[in-house]
Parts: sequence; C-alpha cells; structure tokens
Amino acid sequence: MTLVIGLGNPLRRDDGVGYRAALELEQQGLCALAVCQLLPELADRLAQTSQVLFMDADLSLRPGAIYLRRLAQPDAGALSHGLSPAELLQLSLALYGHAPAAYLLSMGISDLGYGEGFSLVVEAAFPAFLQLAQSLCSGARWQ
Amino acid sequence: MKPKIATIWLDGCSGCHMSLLDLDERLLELAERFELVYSPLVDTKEFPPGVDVTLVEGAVSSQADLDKIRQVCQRSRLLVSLGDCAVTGNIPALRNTLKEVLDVYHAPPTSEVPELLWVKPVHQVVAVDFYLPGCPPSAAIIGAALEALLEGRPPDLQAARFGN
Amino acid sequence: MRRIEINPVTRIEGHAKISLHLGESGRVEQARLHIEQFRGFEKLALGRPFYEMPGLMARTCGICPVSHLIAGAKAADALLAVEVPQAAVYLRRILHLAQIFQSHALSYFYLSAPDLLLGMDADPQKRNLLGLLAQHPQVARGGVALRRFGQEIIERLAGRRIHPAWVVPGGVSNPMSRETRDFILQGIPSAQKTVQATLDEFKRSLENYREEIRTFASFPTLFLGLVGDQGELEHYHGQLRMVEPSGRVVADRLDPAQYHQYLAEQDEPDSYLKSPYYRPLGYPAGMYRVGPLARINVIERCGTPRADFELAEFRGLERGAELSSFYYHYARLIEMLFALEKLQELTSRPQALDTRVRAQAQPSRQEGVGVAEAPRGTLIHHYRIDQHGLVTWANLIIATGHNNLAMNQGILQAAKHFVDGNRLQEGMLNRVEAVIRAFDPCLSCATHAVGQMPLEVQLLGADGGLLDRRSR
Repeated sequence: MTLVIGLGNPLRRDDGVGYRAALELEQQGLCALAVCQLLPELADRLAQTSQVLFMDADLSLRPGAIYLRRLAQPDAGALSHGLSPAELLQLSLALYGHAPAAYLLSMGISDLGYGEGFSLVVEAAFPAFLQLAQSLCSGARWQ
Repeated sequence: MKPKIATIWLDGCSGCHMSLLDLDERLLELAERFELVYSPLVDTKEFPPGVDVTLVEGAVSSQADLDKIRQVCQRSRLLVSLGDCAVTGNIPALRNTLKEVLDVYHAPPTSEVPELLWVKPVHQVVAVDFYLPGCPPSAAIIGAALEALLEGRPPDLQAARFGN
Repeated sequence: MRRIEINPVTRIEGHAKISLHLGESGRVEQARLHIEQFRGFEKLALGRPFYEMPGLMARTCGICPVSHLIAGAKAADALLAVEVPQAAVYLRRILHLAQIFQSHALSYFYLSAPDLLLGMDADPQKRNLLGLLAQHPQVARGGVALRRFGQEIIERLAGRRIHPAWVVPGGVSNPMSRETRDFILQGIPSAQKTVQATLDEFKRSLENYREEIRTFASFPTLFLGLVGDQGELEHYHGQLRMVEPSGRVVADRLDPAQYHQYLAEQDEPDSYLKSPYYRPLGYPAGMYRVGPLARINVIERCGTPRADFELAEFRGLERGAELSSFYYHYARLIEMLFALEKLQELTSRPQALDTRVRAQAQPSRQEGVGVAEAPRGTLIHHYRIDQHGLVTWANLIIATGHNNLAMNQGILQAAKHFVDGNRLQEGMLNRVEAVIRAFDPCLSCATHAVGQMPLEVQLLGADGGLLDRRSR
C-alpha cells in the first residue's frame, strides 16, 4: 500500500501543485495527505507503510517537466532541524525501526506569486502528474 | 564446413541490406547454414580470403569503392550485384550528368577522403555472377537467391520475380 | 607517435572511418571521424518535378525512407498550399511512428545490443546479431519481431517496406483497411511487453556502464527537437525548441520554415561536412544535438502514460538535461514505448478509416519547407520550384549532420579515456566505435550535400604526420 504525501503552499500558486495533487488523489480514494510542510508526526505514518510517494514542486526544474526519483534508504545517522523527505525517512527509521521504500515525484514550476491557481504550463502538466502518482500507487510497473 | 558469405555496401542507401534483414526470423534460420564472415553488421575489419558468396549493394562512386570491390572480387568465389544501384548505377549515377557535381570531381580532394569517380554499376569494374534487381529487391527474392546459392545452384530469378 | 585507424566503423548505417592520434604517453591526443560517402541529393533534385521529390528523397536512406517521404511531402503540401485531410494526417503519423519503431529496434537490437548484452570486450567474431542469437536467443528473436512489426505496418499501409510511395503531396494515396487497423491493434500488446522487458533489463544494466555513461560524448551541448502545442513529444509536426544543458528552454516555438534564421553552418578547414550550430551562440558554443536524447530533453512530457512514467524516471537521473550520449539508447527505448501507445491511440480513432485521404491542388507557392523528426533527429526538406513545378533549388537539413560536432568531440572524449596505446586491446577501440553507435548515425542520409562528409578518426603524431596504421 502506498502512502502519498503532497507538500506545498496552495496560496503561492505553482508551489501548491503537490498539495493539490494529494487532495485530488484523496478524493479518488487513495491514501493521500496534503500538507504544507513535513512534520515529525508523519514519521509515525511512514513507519506503518511499505511505500511512500512524496509529491512536490521544484523551482530548479523546467516548468511543467516531471521528475521521478527513488529516494535512498536512510541510515540511522544524525538528524538536522527542518524536514525534507529524506530526513523524515531517517526519523521514521530512527524512532520506529522502519522506513518505507520512497519516491519523490517533482514537477518543475515557475510561478511563486500570491494566490491560488497554477501557471499555464503547470496546469497543462497537472493531469500527467496525477496519472504518474496513480500508477505508482497501484503498483503498476507494466511488467 | 559452412559456406562463407559476405555482404558489403558501396554507394548505396543500405535499403538492400534492410531488405535482407526483412527476411526477419527466416534470416536467423538461414544463418545457421552459413558463416557471415564480413558485413557492415558484424565487426570484422578486414575482408577475408576464401569467401564463397559476396552480396554487393551500391554503385562504385569513389576510389575507395573501387579499391574495395577489387579486393572483394579477388577474395570471393561468386559476386552478386544486390539492388539497382549495384546493377545499373541507379540514383547515385544521376550525378554523372550534373555540372555542380562534375566540379567536385575535378577539385582535388583532401588526403582524408577518397577521390570521386564517375558512378558505375559494379559489373563495369569487376565480373559479376548474378544480379538481383530492385530498389530494393524484396526480401523474398534475396532469400530465394541465398537459399539457391547455399545449395550450390544458380538462383532462379524468373520464379522469384513473380513472387515479389 | 602513433596512428590507429578503425576502418570501417561497423554496426552503423553508412561508411565511416576513425583515426586516433596517440601521444608519447600512449594516450590519445586527437581523434577525427571521417565519412567517405558522397550522395549529393540536393543536386539530384534540380530540374525534376516537385512531386517526384518524396520518392527520390526516400532513396537517401534505406532505414528511414519514410521520414524523407514525410518531410518531402510536407514541403510539397506547402508548395500546393493545401490542407491535408485529417484522416491522411492520422495515417501519415501512423506510418511514421511505425518507422520510428522499426528503426529504433534495428539500432538497439541489431546494432548496439551486441555491445550492451555480450559486452564491449566480447569476441569480435561473435559480437553481432547472430552472436546475440546464440547467447540471448529470446532477446534477439524479440528484437527481430519488433522490427518486423514496424515493417509490416509500413508494408500494409504503404504497399512495401522500403521506399514505399504511399505518402504524396496533399495526403496519402489510399485509406487504411480494417484488416490493417486490426493487425496493428492486435500486435501492440505483445510488442509492449517486449519493449518494457527490454527497457527494464536495460535500466538494471546501467550499473555496468558507469564509465561509458561518463565518457560517451557526455558533455554540455544544446538540444534541438520538435514539440507539440502542449510541449509533448512529436515526430510528425510541431515547432522547434532549443534547450540548454540545465534543461532551461533557450528558444521556443521556432518556426521550422525559418530554420536559416537560427541555424547556421560552419565550414571545417579539413572537412567537407559543415557543422551546424545555433546562430545566437555562435560557433562552436552553439553546438547542439538532435535525435531521441535531444527530443526527450526538450519536451515537457511524451503525452502517453507508460512513456511518461519512464520519462519521469529517466529524468530522475540528473537535475537538468541528460548529457551523456550513452543515454541515447535509453531514450530510444522510451520512444519505442511511446510509439506503441501513440499507434494504439491513433489507429483506434474512427476517422483513421476515413476514405478521404488526399487533397488535390496545383502548385500555388514557389517555396515550401517540410519538417519531421526522423528516428535520428530533426529533418528539414526545403524546395523552391519554378512556374512549371520543376525544382530550382533544394536544401536538406539532415539529422546526423546536426550531430557532427558532437560525434567528433565524443569519440575524442571516449578515446582519451579508454584507449591506451601501450596496452592496446580491441575492446578499447570498440568502445570508441560504440560512441558513434549510440548516436545511431545515418551516414547515407548525412552526405546529401555536395562534397563529402569526411568523418575520419586519425591517429596523428605530434608533428602532424600520419603514424602507425593499425587495423583490427
């Protein structure tokens, strides 16, 4: 079972793409959380799942382009303040002895203005973003 | 000892070789009956002696082509002109009449590239034993010709033509 | 000082020779790629009726004649100033996808898989399709079946596999039959399985190729390719986009018909082949690559689910554009997946069976440009005609030509890394050739202009003289 965590700020336009994607997927009955930032409490959820998919916006990538990365398994080393997906995984491992297989699905963005709604490029790419997340959740690797 | 087969391409578009590959699975079966000793598709760098049959695609257009086909002729028992460029000159030979191209013929080439020549079909420079016309000849014709040659008989092209 | 010559470069389309110049240390200092063919199609077209162009230009190449048919017919469409019927657009697209598919299958399974699956250092006698058949029969047969599927689609639609005549100015000459449609749809699922399995295996094997990934023409260049309206993968029609190594778009929505405004060619002092470059950045900073890797780098998404999934995963390897030419193989496999999905989509449309497949007209313009993405990259056909419809001028911009600079730099990079003249082994030289194979060049296509395309790798001495000539 895959846990989806979409993060971002829905009031900073494109930055909310991960957040909104998670909302959509939750509506479709998937186990999805829309959060503005990763909080330590999430480590508990991570510890109970076999696979987690983080969905996020990324300013450094080309707007509209979608990147999928498998995140490395954490080692139980030192933690720092503030949580990235990698750090959350590390926390999960440290506290609960388990970290799920993890993926990061990023979309390149450009517009960080105030307000809701996406730039055209991101809006156009949104359906593909969702579709990729769905296929990862359903475990379809098209064998 | 399996017969040794070779293929080369001179000035051609590689369409005849693609047509050979269009034998699909049948090529894999046929290949069990011969040894492909030289071809653009394999890594042999030097044309070996003692080749039984060489399929030649393309017209003779440059000094490099001419040197190559002479060497191939010396080292092969039978030569087959494969496709219209080898049989008649075809598309490459169109340039024989063009003024712009004639200028290039007379311009001294750099040492890195071969000198250009009047485009000629293969049989005008070496002796050819069989001709497979077509642009390209169909896979069926090439297959029929190969089978015949592997069995040591001349290809029956009359039959093949109608089955094209 | 020594010279090593690799002649010919095998398992590529066309003639090429590589010369390597070794220094005192035994390492390579200079490498040049020479192509010894001369084709001259731009001149062969002169004085001929424009409607002959698709058929004539197809003969530039026996692997991708369909791409030349498409680009030539689109240029002729422009001369006629016609709107091609929707069904004909679908059919041309279907034909073109089938060709991309078979050409990529040829490139991967017949030409490069011997290196990738048997190993770069494998016995040269066995390092070919037949050797692959002996060791990995399922893969070899799978590859043959994939190429056959693409070729059979072409045969059924266009009448013959190689140099068909079906694509004409204004459309295509006849509609698609139900039998052909059913044939295509029925063949897709098993083809998808084979391609997916191949791609999965390829991804697993990347571990073994870390060195090659780093050194096979892996350097920053621009990338050029067609994109559709939504930034999706396109091979039939669209606008050109230029992307820089970071992935950032440098120029977008370029009109292919105005290519001369942003693409220029530089004469090389010792080569008949000119090197295209992106005008605003000048030469050689404006070097760019085309082909599957470039297309994957310029698009936002493929536009079909499986291909998009694989694309996203592929992108996860790097932050910006993928720079290593080794990844051309990866991109080719993604494009094969895309082609199958797109074939499914287009062939299923009811309109694809429509019988109105050709618009008729007389020439209305004196200049026409047609663009397509051939398997190997951006292809442009540009014709000018007189009042009688005879061609007065023709210019072809052909994929492999765009990649000339990158190929030359690429073999130097690989040769510097792998070739040690003091302990020369065949596998070192094979790796230099494998760089060229990654580009999947079509040299019969590329040598279309007057003058030869010398791609010669020469091993020259410190004094510039030709050194030891060694062939394998």
